[in-house]
Amino acid sequence: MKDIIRLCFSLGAVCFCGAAALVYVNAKTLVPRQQAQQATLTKSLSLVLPAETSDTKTLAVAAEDGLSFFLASDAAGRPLAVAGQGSTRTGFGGEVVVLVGLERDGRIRGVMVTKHSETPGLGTKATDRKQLKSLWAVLAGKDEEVAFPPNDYLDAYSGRPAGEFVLGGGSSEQRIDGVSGATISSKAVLAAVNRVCDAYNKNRDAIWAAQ
Amino acid sequence: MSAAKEFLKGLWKENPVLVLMLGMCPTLAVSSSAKNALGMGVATTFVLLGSNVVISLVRKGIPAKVRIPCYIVIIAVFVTIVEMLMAAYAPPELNATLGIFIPLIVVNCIVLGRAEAFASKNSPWLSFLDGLGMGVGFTLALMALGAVREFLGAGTIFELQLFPKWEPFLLMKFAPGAFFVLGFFLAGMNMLRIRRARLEGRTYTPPELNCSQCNLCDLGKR
Repeated sequence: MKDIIRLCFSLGAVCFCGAAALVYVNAKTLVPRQQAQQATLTKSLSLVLPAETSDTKTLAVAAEDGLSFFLASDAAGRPLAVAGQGSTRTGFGGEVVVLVGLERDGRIRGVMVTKHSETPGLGTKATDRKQLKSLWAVLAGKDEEVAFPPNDYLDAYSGRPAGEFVLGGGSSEQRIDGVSGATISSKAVLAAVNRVCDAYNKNRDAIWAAQ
Repeated sequence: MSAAKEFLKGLWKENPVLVLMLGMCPTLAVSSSAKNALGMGVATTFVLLGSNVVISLVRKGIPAKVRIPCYIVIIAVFVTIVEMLMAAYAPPELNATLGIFIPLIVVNCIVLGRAEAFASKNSPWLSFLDGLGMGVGFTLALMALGAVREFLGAGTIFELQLFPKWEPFLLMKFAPGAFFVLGFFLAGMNMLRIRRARLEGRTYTPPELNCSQCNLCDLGKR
């Protein structure tokens, strides 16, 4: 009996000290982590919104769990474009969050995936914008950093009107071809973009009127 | 010099991936490209160092019967701390690449294996060296695998394209391809060992892979 108490006490002590260490580190890094998250969001927004944007505001309109909109305005305060962030949990590795830039007329400016856990090399073909650099170009010093590298799948959304996209079917405006070998990831991105577009179309006037 | 030996053994003689055959899961999953391999290796080394030192420091206070759960708690706490520190202070580029691999380290057998086989029986300094050697050996093995798989599977090295047109050997991107490459590596290592043994005038006998080496459960003791 004494043995069991000793064992429980030791394990309990290790767990307690471990938990204490985690509480401490969590508290100490909370602010830097939030700041880092905010910085990545700002950077992502600058990629899908026009260059003339001088102020981006998070809107309360159409905001729900996993969905939020941002209004970009220029130096004179005129609204330029809108960015919608939507998420789904149907990715291969779980949550997929996309950021969709939208013009006044409802056309998509660009789509990028800001958070995902898709399989590197396979599912990431539908989510990552990676610049394919040549070794020889790097050695020759001729490589340039492209801010918004192309991705065949994601670029297919650009220029389309915000609507209900369908993978491999539907009308010519709705049809998006998925990435072969990455169907689940493609579908997840599609679902997230659809979610954003649906919310945008439902609340279009409210979004553009927000000050 | 005993200290140097503890570090060096992890690089070749007792390489965790190629000799001890530990950590097969992340090896096969993460070695699809050299960059992923490097990232995973560095993160694992970090956790190995920390967990080895901490477990070595408290080794006298933990009763033998609950040692495995205690080690796992310590390792999990360490991995979570590394995860939080990286989210807070690492540059976003690094986070995006390494982010998904960090939680996987908890189930990496190398960390628990070294804790049980070495850190629980040796001083903190030697445990640190052992962890460093094992971590670097793991990283090197993973990078070698990753370089081959990436080159054959995508025609790139560290995501830099070598030839403009490349027919990818798709098998290399998946686990079976990893097994194939690993098999060739092991064959190559054995060939080197046989040759060296012959030069030294003895015959090479492969190590007995009996359970008694491992220590993780009671199977070897019966």
